Amino acid sequence: MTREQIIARLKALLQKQTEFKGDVSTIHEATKIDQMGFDSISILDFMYDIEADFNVQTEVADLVKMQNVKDLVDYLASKLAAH
Amino acid sequence: MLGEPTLALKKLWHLILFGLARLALALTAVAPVGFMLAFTDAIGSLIFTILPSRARIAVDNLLAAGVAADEAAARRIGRKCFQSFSRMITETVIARERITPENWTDFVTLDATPEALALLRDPQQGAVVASAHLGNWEVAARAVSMIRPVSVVYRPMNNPYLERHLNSGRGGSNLHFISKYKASPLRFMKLLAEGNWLALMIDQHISEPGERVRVNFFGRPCWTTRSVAMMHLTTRMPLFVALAARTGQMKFRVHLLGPIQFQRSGNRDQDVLGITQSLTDEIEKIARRYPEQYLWGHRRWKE
Repeated sequence: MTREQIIARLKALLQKQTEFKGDVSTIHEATKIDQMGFDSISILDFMYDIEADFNVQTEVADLVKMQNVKDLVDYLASKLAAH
Repeated sequence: MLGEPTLALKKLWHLILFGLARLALALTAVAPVGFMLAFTDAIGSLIFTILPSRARIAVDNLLAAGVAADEAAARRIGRKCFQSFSRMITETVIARERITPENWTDFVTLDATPEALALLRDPQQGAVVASAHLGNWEVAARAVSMIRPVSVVYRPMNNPYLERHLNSGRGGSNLHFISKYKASPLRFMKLLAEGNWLALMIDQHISEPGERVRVNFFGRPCWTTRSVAMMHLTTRMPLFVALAARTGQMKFRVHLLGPIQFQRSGNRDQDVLGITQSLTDEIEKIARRYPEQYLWGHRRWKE
């Protein structure tokens, strides 16, 4: 899966989330995770949905190191490559 | 919106309660513990008498939950519940001064499985802990913090005077309180990754639609936070219920229930409901054992 495909799937997941209040069209690799527009626990919903949709298992120690969307895409790309 | 007279009355009421609390807290420094606890019991009983609308909430909740067979029994348990809450504040202040890493087992008995104790003593292992307004929830957190770092998410009190006063010196070297209004899931995840045990209360009504799930508590549906279940599902940290029941004068039994096992289905809403109902069931079991120590005087079953 290419980086562009990963980002497209992440955006599709966000669009399906009724709790997400941010603007998906403004999200790109440099977007900071804490500025994506999550309110309260919607970021946890997003992380749960990533695991289910990409069929990967994330580790909390890795998740807390991520600063921006690029880090998340790198992480998912490496997880998918290891499959 | 509240009118001026109502606001003034509310402020006056807050100041009266603050004054009573200051008096009680000042006395804790000089008076014998037994006297202090009896004094605060009397304050709790007085509040039950002079706040009939609040007392009514407790009585109605007890009757609807089937915990009290009739009005007289509900009033008796309701009064004890008000005394328990009043006593909790005094105990908490005493506990801050007297419970130390060296002597905490003189005050607290920890009721946990060997597996739970092993996780509790693993310095790298974070955990998500659900708690409720039973017995003395601050002592529960303080006791666990004698073994490992604990971060507690709390809702600030409505009374701003009491809130400011009680919050000063509330934490400890291993015990941190985080206002729910300054909380964020990313911060929680970092704490968990660092080996903290993160405690959240799950027995309060939640009004925000995106943050709640409807579960049964004492056979009646109520809105409950989804955050504990989501934190567990996202981080896979062990999940516990912790409740500290009062067993005597400054004596507590901390029921550390878990780790609670749950097979995830892959359906987020279904998993959140299943986990939150399991946690709520555990709280109900303990609340049935100590009904006079549960906080019945709040609107838990609001629509």
